[in-house]
Amino acid sequence: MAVGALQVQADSTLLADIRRYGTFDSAACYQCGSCTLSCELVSDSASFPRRSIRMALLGLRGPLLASLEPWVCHDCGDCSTVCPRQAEPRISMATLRRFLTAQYDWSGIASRLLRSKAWYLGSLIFVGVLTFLLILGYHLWKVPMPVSTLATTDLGLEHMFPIIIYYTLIVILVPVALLLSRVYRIWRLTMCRNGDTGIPFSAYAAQAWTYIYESVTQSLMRKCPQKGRWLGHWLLAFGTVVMLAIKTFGLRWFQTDNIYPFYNPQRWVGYLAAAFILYGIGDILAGRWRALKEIYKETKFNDLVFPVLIVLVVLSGLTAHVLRYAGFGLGCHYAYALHVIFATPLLLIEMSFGKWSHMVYRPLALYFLAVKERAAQQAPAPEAVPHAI
Amino acid sequence: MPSDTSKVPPVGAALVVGGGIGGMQAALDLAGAGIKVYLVDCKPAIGGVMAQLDKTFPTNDCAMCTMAPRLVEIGRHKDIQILTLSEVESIAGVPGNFSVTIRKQPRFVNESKCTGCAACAAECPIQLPSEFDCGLAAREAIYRPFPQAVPNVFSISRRGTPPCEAACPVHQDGQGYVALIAQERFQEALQVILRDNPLPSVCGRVCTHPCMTACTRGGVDDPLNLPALKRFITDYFPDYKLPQPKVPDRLERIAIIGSGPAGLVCAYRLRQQGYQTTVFEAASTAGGMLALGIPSFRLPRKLLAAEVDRMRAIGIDIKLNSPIGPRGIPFEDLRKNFAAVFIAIGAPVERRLNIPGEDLPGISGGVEFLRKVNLGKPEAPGQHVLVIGGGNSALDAARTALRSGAGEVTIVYRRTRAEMPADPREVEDAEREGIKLMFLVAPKSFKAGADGRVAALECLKMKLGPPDSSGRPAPVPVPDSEFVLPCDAVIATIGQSPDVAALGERLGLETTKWGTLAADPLTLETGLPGVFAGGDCVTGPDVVINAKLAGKKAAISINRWLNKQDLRDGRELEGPYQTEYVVDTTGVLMQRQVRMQALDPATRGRTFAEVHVGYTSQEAVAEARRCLACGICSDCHMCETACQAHAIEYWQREQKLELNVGAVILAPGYELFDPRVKKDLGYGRFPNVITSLEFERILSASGPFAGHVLRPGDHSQPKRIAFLQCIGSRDAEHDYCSSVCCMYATKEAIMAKEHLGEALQCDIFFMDLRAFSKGFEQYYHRAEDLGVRYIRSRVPAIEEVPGTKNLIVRYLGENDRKLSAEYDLVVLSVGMQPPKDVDKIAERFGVALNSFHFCETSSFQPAASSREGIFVAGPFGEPKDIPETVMQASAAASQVLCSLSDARGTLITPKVYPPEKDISGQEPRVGVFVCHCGTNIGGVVDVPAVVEYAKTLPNVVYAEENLYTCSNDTQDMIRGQITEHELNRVVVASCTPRTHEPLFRNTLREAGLNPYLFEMANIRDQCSWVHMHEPEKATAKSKDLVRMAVAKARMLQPLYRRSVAINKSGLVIGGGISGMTAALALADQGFDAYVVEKENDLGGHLKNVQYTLNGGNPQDELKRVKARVRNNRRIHVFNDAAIESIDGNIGDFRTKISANGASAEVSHGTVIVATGAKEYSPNEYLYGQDSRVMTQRELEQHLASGKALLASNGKGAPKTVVMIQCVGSREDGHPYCSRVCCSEAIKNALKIKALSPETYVYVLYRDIRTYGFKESYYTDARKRGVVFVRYDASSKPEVSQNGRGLNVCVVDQTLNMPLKISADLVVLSAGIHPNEGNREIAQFLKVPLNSEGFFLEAHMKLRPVDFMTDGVFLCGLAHSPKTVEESILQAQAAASRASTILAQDRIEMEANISEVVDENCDGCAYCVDTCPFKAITLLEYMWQGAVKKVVDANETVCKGCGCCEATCPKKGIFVRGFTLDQIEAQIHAALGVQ
Repeated sequence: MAVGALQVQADSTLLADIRRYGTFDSAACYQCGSCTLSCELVSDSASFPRRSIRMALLGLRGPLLASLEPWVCHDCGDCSTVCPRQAEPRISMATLRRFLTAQYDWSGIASRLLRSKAWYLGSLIFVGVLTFLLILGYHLWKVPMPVSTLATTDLGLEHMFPIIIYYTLIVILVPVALLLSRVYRIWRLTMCRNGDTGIPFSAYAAQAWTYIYESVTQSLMRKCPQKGRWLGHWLLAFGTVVMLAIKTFGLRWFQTDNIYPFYNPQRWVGYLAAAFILYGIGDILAGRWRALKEIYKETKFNDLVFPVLIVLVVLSGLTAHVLRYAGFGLGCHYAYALHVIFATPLLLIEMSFGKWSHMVYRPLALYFLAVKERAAQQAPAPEAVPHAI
Repeated sequence: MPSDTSKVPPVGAALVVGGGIGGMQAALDLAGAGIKVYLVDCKPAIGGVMAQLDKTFPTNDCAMCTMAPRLVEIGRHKDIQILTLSEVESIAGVPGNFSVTIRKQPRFVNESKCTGCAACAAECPIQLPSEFDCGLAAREAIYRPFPQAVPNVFSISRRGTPPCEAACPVHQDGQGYVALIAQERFQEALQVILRDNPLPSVCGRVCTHPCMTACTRGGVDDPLNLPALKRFITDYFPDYKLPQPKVPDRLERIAIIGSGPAGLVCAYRLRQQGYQTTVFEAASTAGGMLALGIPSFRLPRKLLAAEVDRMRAIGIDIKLNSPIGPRGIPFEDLRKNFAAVFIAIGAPVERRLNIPGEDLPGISGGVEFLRKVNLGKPEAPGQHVLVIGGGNSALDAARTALRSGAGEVTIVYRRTRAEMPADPREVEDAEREGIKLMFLVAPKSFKAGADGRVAALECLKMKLGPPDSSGRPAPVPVPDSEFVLPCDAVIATIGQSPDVAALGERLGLETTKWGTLAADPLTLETGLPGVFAGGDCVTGPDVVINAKLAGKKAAISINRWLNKQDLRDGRELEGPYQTEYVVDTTGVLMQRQVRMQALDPATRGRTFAEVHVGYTSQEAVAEARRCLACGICSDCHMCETACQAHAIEYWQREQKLELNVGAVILAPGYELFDPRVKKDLGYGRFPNVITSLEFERILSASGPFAGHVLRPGDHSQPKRIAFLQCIGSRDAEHDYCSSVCCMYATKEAIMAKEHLGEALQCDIFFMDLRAFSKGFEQYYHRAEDLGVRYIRSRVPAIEEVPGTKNLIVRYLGENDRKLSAEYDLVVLSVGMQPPKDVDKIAERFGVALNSFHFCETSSFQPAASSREGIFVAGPFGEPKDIPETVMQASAAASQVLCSLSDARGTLITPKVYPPEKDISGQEPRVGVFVCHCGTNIGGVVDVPAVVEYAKTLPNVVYAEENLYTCSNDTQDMIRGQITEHELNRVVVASCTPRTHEPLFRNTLREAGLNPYLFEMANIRDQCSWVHMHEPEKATAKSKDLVRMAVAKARMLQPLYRRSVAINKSGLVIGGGISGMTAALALADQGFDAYVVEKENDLGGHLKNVQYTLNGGNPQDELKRVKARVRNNRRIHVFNDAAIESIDGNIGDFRTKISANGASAEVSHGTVIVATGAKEYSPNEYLYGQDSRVMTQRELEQHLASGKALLASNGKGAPKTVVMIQCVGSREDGHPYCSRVCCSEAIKNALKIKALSPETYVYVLYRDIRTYGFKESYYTDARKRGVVFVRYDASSKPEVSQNGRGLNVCVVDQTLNMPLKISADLVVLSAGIHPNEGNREIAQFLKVPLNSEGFFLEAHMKLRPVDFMTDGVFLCGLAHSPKTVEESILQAQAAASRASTILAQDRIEMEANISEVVDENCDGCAYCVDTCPFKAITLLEYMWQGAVKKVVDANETVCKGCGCCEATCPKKGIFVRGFTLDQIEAQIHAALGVQ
């Protein structure tokens, strides 16, 4: 390639920016490529970690923001094992994902949360306390707690269905809307260089199934060497989606005063989803806790808080459920309030700005990569500009 | 450094540790300059790793060919003592006077007796992987590492006595005969067996085989069936004979009482020593218990009889029916008539049960029963026979009873099967034959039947209790458990005791309370002088092999007693013992013992035929091959028999030596990285993944496949070879570069292509191609031109294709595309590591190691360790190539010479040659020696045919072929042939005279012949190499060359060398750090030095070096060195000086110097060229047009004065510095790498980061060439945020000005992406270019320059500071680009080389120079202009009244090139040794005309 055309300005400040989001120790890298060779997920059209790390080291901000490869990485850690310089490419890739997550958010909130422990914890607590105050206010001013009825098995949940449904819709749909706005932003950054995508709509349409397939199966993760990880993660994701779906669209059916028999789907679907979530979270937490395996050598603060928060949501929900079936009405109410207090920050913070957003970004990146590949096949350019520029 | 004169004078000797190329160079330099050298190596031969290499880069010279003359030189050097198999144990004392303790391992071969003939190895049955061939070929246990080894003597790999041999009471050498059986050498196996055991067929059958119990293989699967193998040999040679005594008969007669095994062994051993032995046997048959107590189905009678007959055949008198004592021959008669008596009467008396009814008829003892059967006819003792006991005798009795016709035989034993003392196999055999066993039953009383005979045995049931004194659980009676076993006969076999009542007491011999004879357990002496006793009569009943031990001991004692020697001395190891060493059995494949065939149990129980039929030959060989060779050497002594020189010395033990030396040079070399550590590479699992050293051996003509490039896996020819770089280098564990791998891989690829043709695919996977030394870059491009592919990708893992055993290499191609390629062979370029026991070495010598675990040295004392008086050479200090090793070795030698200068010459011995024979008037008698050169010549040329042809040539009186004519033993042999055949001319047909002529000339001189009566035919280079594929033509040409050589040789006349007095001073051209260092090194040794410097101040380039990579301060050092130079009265400095002319020759140069306008002339013996080089002044990248573009040197000056240059421009924005590498290097016109620029750029980048961490630094490079430990600074720079961007030579960076600063555009090769960097400073790494003045100096000195204009040394590998012109040496940048440290080393090395001349008083000149024939010369002067050395001048003088013109040749300047001779029309000038007559004779011989 000639020196002249399409030069990218080296931005010396990029590396310092990235390092605000976590460890990026790959300065020891001498570009031997062992990491890329060791990775099962690397393809001709999506090559990492060497390329991604190289872009960061050279200060190529534009190409790095335009790259989707960090999302293809599923954090298995083989690259770190094989690295002859012990430059920890896995950790650098994780840092790049946090960096990108922050860059995708136009509000700047994600950046704050991902960089600062205080902001992150503070925001979670703030939303939790706010939720608590809302619940308190609701009971103080709107629906006084009739203590007599609460002592009976008749739990009297009916009173709050109208408001809880709207509440649930808000705390779920707000993050979804935010994420959708980022999808557009990512599309602009990665697919739409210089305002012109050059990619026909047909390519998007043809590859649409990729997004759904990857969202539902997370199948790429199965290529990772640790086979157990995919199952744990998939169960967690599946359970979470089922729970979200039930809560969003079937709250009235799911959360009633009726005591259903055990075989009723209302009960076992819930149990199953909870079990899946707990298994998946347990798998992740156990791994991080042991902190022995290569992959979990460096655990970020929010890598821990996020699963812990999920566990709290599930456990508080289950407690409410058990108390309800045991006939402890008042206890159930308190547990339910706690459940809502935990769930609201999970959705508003983690899903909107935090780690959870990867459930949208990852399949999206895979989808966009597939689209690009298809477009390249449809119109093979005589001199293909290297991808992701 | 000169030592403090107040101390005691230093010792004029030095210790060099390590016999590799570095140690060898140091030893030669030291010894050449008058220091006695002890060269210590832990291996059996010196030579180090270089001996294993095939060719050397960049000249493709054969490594062995270049080093062999040097090996021989060291081997023959009178002042170098080689201590092989030795290690330094401790060192004490002070610099100048160390005392060193050396531990020398036994060689088991006498170094002074061994001739290296290799006859021993041909006989050795043990095959081991050859260390020299990296395990790709086998060697014998007695071996020399390679044919040219120095010292050229064999050594034995011997771990110790094998366990089987140690466990055997008589030390029968089990591993020895097993090893020979494994090779189907049965006759020799028999000899080994008979050496220790005169009754092998007995032992093979009835011995309790402690050897087999001790067998190491028992811990893996099954022990080796040693008795069966021994038996096989005796079965295979049924008519073998015992060896006749090899000593003359002696007069002493020895009486032996008892013909059992003890008596017979004693008789045999004494007979072998010449004694007359007579054996007295009371019974009618010989053999003692062997004959009477062991049934014939286990030991056939005829075999025993044959053994006894063999004894008789060697002169042992065996008298049967001859009891000793009152009823026979009186014991006193024996004592009177015989010199000594050995009593071995055994223990034939039965023990009693001591229970009621024991004397009833039908009850007999086992011995009594067996004796009856063995002496007479088998007769059934009864129908229902009970046998009491659990030993072998009980089984023998039971099985004999069965065979004698008993209906049912039951063995009654009071313990369980597990406690039975009998051999489990025998028990099994007996059961198969139908014998019943009752356990936990003890006899209580016998009951008589109606006929008065025994009819039943009343028994008690038993249970096992706590262990008794024998260690086995004691049987405890169960109360009230009596029961009755009906029977009609009982055989009680509960033990025997000696018949001492018959003999002992009445003869006045002491007895013991156990009823045995009393005798000393070690010597077997009894109370009576000259009477010895042993065997069962002393020990009580015991096994056969212990009886044999008694016989052996008795024979030793009697011999000593008769010779009045000490009876006890040194006998500790008689009898069984355990070996101390542990044999590693990991990786031994399971292979069960070969089962011996036996007769059908259903029928054999009724006959006395031998139960086991023995091994067949195939079975025996298969079984023998299971041996693990625990002792390595099998102790078979085959080599001892084969060695005509009687050099084998099994008795050798470790020795300790004390040496007194003044200084030590450590050159222990390095260890190759073991790629097994990196499991993903598959080394050790995949047969076709090999290390680079293994590939060197494969390439080598002397290697495992005789130079055919084959895969180790299946010996097929590879078509695709991959080389993987940086294996064990440049990773987190080894943060250094091994410096040599890129080049050796390149060389191996070139050589592989040379072997297998252009079509061979050679791919080298690398990261940075480090071709940084002289000529390397060009070599790398040559490889590319030859089609070697260089692929820039590190390969972390290799996969194997299951069927073909090919290998898949995955790598990253352009744009990070994952590619994979299949190869037939993968070569891992393994890196250098410190020696395995580096910590031990460091501790013993008290030297510090650096963080990489190599020996610590410093920048300005690069050959010195942290301990005064101990110096370092070679890769022990840092991974390095051969020339750097050689330089450092010479530098270390120079340091030693400085510190020991007072003691120089005190401990050396003058070389003495025999007086030269006068051959004038003799008819030529030519000897021709034709060399095979291993397979180098012999593989192509039919050497025997050439020899036969040579014999037919006129005046040839002797011709022979040699495997290696240059080896030490062949030299000795040539000397012998010269004397024997009165040769007066010698022709060697071998390799090139360039390397080997001096060696052979010296051989002639040592044989008393003038060294110039020698001629060489180069049939290797000119025949076997160039006509490799035409053997017939090569042979014919060889004959032609030999004919020509002989034709010339016939006309050779003795020539005599002129000797020149040495002027003990040296001229040093150049006053930089190299020149000053060289001058100081000369002056410190007591020689004057004249330093010529063109500038007005000393210091050269070092003046511009402000700091070094590792933190040293060059300016302080420069000040120190300058002060030392100024203050040294032996150093004379000429500033602002130029050389006007240099005349003269080695030992006597005269140089005109103009300095400060004045002119001076100095005389000196040597010259050291240290003229330095210059920095390239760039004309690219806006250099000179923009002040913000500067060279690294300019940057360094700025940085030295602080961070002003880096100060930000006020807005707080940090500055950006871009460095561009390879400016004026690796380009057209300057195709070489300037070696230091990468490190210099990193040095300055690190300095910038240290001064101003926020400054951005980009380094644009082509390959980062931070070799050795400099790699760690590259790592450090990256960690500190210096960004390295690789550019390709085809798209160089572009520098342009913009408004405020500079723009640098470059295409990053990893991303294949064009970058634009806004730079505040652009720094150019300008290359090092040769000085223009070099050309003039080269002409003055008649030395060559290379194509780039640097001085060209004599040999790139082994003579890096010498010139082909004697007495002239080279160092510093004038040689090639290098670091300050390397310049210092090379300067010291040059001084060391110079001192090998200056230390001598006179030096001999070459004799092959031109000579003027005055009567023919008419002064035409054609030759004067032709002479390239300006050696010829025209003289005019008056002679007989007329002007006579003749030329005169200056003998010290003439190089004997022959241009004058070729020009002269009048035969007026000729070169000695190349006269026209001689050349004409050669031409006639070539043309086949007379």
